[in-house]
Amino acid sequence: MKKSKKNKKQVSRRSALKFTAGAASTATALSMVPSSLLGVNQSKVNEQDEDQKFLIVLTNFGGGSINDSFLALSEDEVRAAGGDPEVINCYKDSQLVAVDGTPFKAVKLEHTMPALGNFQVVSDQSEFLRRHKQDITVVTSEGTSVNHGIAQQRSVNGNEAWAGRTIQEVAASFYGQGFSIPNMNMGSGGYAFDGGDSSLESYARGMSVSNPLYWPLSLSSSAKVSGVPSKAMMDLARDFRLRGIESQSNFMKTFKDDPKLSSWLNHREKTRPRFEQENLFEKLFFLDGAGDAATEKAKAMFPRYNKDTFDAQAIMSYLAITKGVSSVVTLGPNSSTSTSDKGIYEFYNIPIAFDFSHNDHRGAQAHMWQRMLRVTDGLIELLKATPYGTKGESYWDKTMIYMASDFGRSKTRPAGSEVFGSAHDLNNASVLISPMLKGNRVIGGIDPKTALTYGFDPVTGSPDRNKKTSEKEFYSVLTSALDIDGSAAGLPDFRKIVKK
Amino acid sequence: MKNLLVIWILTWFSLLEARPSTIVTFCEMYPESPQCVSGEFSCVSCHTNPPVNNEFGKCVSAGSDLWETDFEGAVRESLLKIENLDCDNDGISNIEEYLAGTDPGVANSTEPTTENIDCEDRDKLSNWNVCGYDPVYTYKRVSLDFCGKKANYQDLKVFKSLSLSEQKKSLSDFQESCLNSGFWKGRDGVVWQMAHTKVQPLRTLKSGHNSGEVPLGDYDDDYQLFVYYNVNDRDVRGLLTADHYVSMIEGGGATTYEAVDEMPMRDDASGLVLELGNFMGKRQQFVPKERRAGMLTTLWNATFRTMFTSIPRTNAAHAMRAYLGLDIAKSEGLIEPEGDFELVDHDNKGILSDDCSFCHRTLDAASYPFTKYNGLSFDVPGKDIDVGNIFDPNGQRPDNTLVNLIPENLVEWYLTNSKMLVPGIYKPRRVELLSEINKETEPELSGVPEAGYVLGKPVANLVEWGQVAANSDYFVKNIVLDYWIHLVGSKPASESEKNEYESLWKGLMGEDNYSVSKMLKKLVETEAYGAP
Amino acid sequence: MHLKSIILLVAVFILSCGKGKFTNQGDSGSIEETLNPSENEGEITTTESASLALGSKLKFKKQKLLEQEIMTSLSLSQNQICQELESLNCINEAHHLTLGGVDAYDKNIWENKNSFLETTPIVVERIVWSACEKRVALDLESGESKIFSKGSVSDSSHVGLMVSNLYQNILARDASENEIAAAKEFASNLEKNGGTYDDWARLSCFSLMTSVEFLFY
Repeated sequence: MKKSKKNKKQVSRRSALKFTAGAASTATALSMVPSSLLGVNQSKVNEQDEDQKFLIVLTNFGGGSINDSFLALSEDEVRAAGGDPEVINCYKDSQLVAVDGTPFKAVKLEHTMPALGNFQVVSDQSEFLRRHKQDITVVTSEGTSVNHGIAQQRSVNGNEAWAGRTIQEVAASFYGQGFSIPNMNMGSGGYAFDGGDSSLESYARGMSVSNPLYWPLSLSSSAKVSGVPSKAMMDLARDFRLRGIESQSNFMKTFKDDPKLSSWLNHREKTRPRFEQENLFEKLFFLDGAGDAATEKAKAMFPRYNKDTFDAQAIMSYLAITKGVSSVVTLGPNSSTSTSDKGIYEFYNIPIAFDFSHNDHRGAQAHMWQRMLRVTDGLIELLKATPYGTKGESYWDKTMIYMASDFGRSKTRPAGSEVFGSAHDLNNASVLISPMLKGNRVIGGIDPKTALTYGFDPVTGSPDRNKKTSEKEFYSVLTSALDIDGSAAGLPDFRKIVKK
Repeated sequence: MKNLLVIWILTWFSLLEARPSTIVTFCEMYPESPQCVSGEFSCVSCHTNPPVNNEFGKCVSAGSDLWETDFEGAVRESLLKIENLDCDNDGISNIEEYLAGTDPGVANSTEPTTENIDCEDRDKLSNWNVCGYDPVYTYKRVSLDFCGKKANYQDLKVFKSLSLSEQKKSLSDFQESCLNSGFWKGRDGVVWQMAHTKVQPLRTLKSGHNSGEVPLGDYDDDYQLFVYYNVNDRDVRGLLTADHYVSMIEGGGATTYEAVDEMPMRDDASGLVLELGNFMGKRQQFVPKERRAGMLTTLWNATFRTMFTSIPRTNAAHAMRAYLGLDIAKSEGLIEPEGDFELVDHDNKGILSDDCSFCHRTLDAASYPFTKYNGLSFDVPGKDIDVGNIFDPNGQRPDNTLVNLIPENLVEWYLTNSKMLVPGIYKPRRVELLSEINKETEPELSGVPEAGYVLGKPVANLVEWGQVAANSDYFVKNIVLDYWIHLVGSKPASESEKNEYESLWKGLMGEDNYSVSKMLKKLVETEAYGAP
Repeated sequence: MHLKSIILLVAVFILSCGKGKFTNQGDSGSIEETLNPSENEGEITTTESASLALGSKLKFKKQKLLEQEIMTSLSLSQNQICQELESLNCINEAHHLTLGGVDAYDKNIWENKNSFLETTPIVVERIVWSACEKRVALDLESGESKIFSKGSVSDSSHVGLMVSNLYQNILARDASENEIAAAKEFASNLEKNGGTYDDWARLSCFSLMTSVEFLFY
């Protein structure tokens, strides 16, 4: 067997040019450690900083179309603009509710879905609109990919607007220091991906949460585990593991410089004690009667949590934000089907979510928008009812909701059809909801003749029919809305356009 | 003379595909840059999503005013001007980064060190031969990686007592037995799981075993084909060239795979698969034998990826990503089609703009051969076909379905001569038919050719596409890389690892005759795998 | 004829290369820093996670492999290892993604590029504790005695014998003299803190099976 002797440490040309590997690895090692581990800013959460902001990203998985929610068009509007209301995806007057004092429309629809065994969809967006219109800003946009995974990523990273950072990562970077899990991600598909910027502070990266019902168990080594001995004995055992087993072993001596090992030990020796010391399990676990009054309120608001993951995610989001665990949460449905106890006669999540529009556009859009607005409404109400700080504010006063969508849907239909399929369309608009914004308006506009949205003047904010809002511009709207200075990434400042 | 020089450069850097002139110019100016030698300098060296610039690209762009009038001149001027700048602000100048092979647009991009351990010191502390290949260490790894179980105390004791040559033989025999185990090749085994990113299953849409609510295809057929060509010394090019299907027999703790000319419809088939299978003679794959191209032409591929699109770009992009390791979304594999290729916006998607054509020249050219293979489009002129309730949860089947309305003796005629389109078939007139159906939105569709390009090479159809792709370096590199990452634990990093990796993929397409099994035998003999 | 297609369409979720679903939060910290936690001070600098991915020789025993290892080392069946909330299989249902597994068919998680997450060590401790407790109970109460036989924590030679059994079953090697001495010292410390032989058996099993030598290869 061929045997070759490896050389002693060879320094790369790169490291010869700049710095020693040793120095780098120390800096590297420390740079991986969240500041809270180093005892920095630990008190931030307790201070309830008045500059604090929270971001909730709700994902319209599969492509939620603004033409079937707040920018829905009536047949009369389309006709008056010279379009063909039989062909354009628009609604009869009986299917729309005009809410006073808002440019938005609400779709009110009852619809039978033949392809889902004649499942009956009942949806009414008007109540949501009445309650929250003052906080709603619809921002038009046009994407660049009709591929779900790619489009989902671009809807949160602005197509590399800030070196690939997702808006969640940016928000966590600015507002997440001091939180235990600054950026909690319960999204699916491309919404769950990390951004691509390796220079991002590690604490701002998303923590993936697959199942909010059971995931809190992974925050404690002993919660709900039978027969665990006293902390003193466990500490003795862990100390024995580190000093009596590992430090003695040839295995450790051989691989001590391996980065995976370093990473593992850092998680084991620092993260576990921190998570347990911060009682994260107790804060976030809500099964089996666990939790406090706030948890009970959240469970009452979202009672389907055992059958509908979206409800469980909503509870987790509320707890994570209001118990000082996270500054950013992402949640939303995925492609899987879920139903009530009635089984396939009552869908919670229809197969492939919004993307079922390929088969039955009206039904899929109506059902899924209803689903999204139900959860959004519940979250807003809970956050409003939870005080923040000492100046009479609530958590809602500090929060922005961004309803991300893969893309829009095609704007036309077979003449006069109510049951039709739609394709992916780059043209769309997204919904932002926050009391921090100049709400109750559209940034950009919609052409009733074609149902296509158009952009806005980046200086004045006025609608501009000759412009489409790019992914980067839309991303800048988000950063501006959160009062984040994106100039380092060359992002325009839209605060005057967006914020109060 | 200048033209000859350019031709020479293009020929010399044969690893480089035909590329935009910036890349040629850069490598002309800095031929000793490791990224030019390896072919790594590419579009993404300056761009995120072309033409969007990354930090280095922004630097280059700012280095000249000549872009509008003299593009190549601007490249030269700018590159010279910014040599001593530091575009990513990491303390290393651009010229130093070019010569070191690091990324001038990414701060602190690090070239892997050749070694970062002190061999002799580790040797003193360790039980293993850390300065080279250790058979005992390897045996433990092989046991876990290939058999899914650890080598226990007794096994190791016996192994350690053998001579070196006996250890080598024992290891080889042991690995061979593991390669036939259910852990390796069974359902949800190692190889099966490697197919996840190729097949991209979604149970909601599955027919057959473990089916979902909306059965459109049975991806078990795809997994079986994948495993078949990755085991038992078979020619792995069959992934893209096979003209048959593969059935799986499970039982008695063993799994075997068998090539079959036609895939019979399973007893538990449902939804669309049941509907079509009854119509198509109790089969569940419908492409004629002479038109098959392995994983590229399965029913799942058609329904899940082609769907309703007329030009299946997603299908082509996925095939390039999954089997060639080239991600067009990251500007990889953007190879200019040879000859006089003209990009035409056949389906009216706006691909001719500068922002779009950059990628679509490659993507569309690669997609054309897929256009004869129907996705989910369903049209039977002259027949009132009701496929409504095909997924009725109550299982109520309407009377006017395909099998009831078209007599069995006319099925072949309908498939061949009529304007009928059903999912998963090969139909030469497909784009012509779709252009009629979609006349308002895609009127130019009938001009789409079947011929296209893959890796810049012209191909007459998808069968040829598969052959060209499977015989390329990219294909074998991708196969080996998948196994390398799984077994070694990370991509080839150091120079010695890169050399071993190169040796493996060249061997796979050389003396190993495309046998993954043979390649794996060699992989476990590498230092990357077997040296602690 | 129905003009409209009533066939269901599906989303295409093509994962882009190089990007996985799970984050790799908080990489590294050198062994020295870990062994001397009081010396950990410093400022946060930018991350270099890309460089950390290079040059790693070790692999974590992900989900199915970990399950096999525990079953083989402790002679337990799949169902005996661990249940969360008395109903969910820990390794295959409750924590499969945290343990590096995939959820290909239902959640479109076709690959898991991160070996482990920040919470994986916690989950491993939960699972191993449960498995060790089961093994010790079977050995000492049911008389199966695969690893442990009855004895006393103050019986040094018996402790040494049990430690040898542990190392051979779990790490497939002999314990060194230093390792046996360290284990005896642990037994003694435990006894001083009121621990029984049962406690020592379970905690020894736990400590060894959550050590890096068992979990990585």
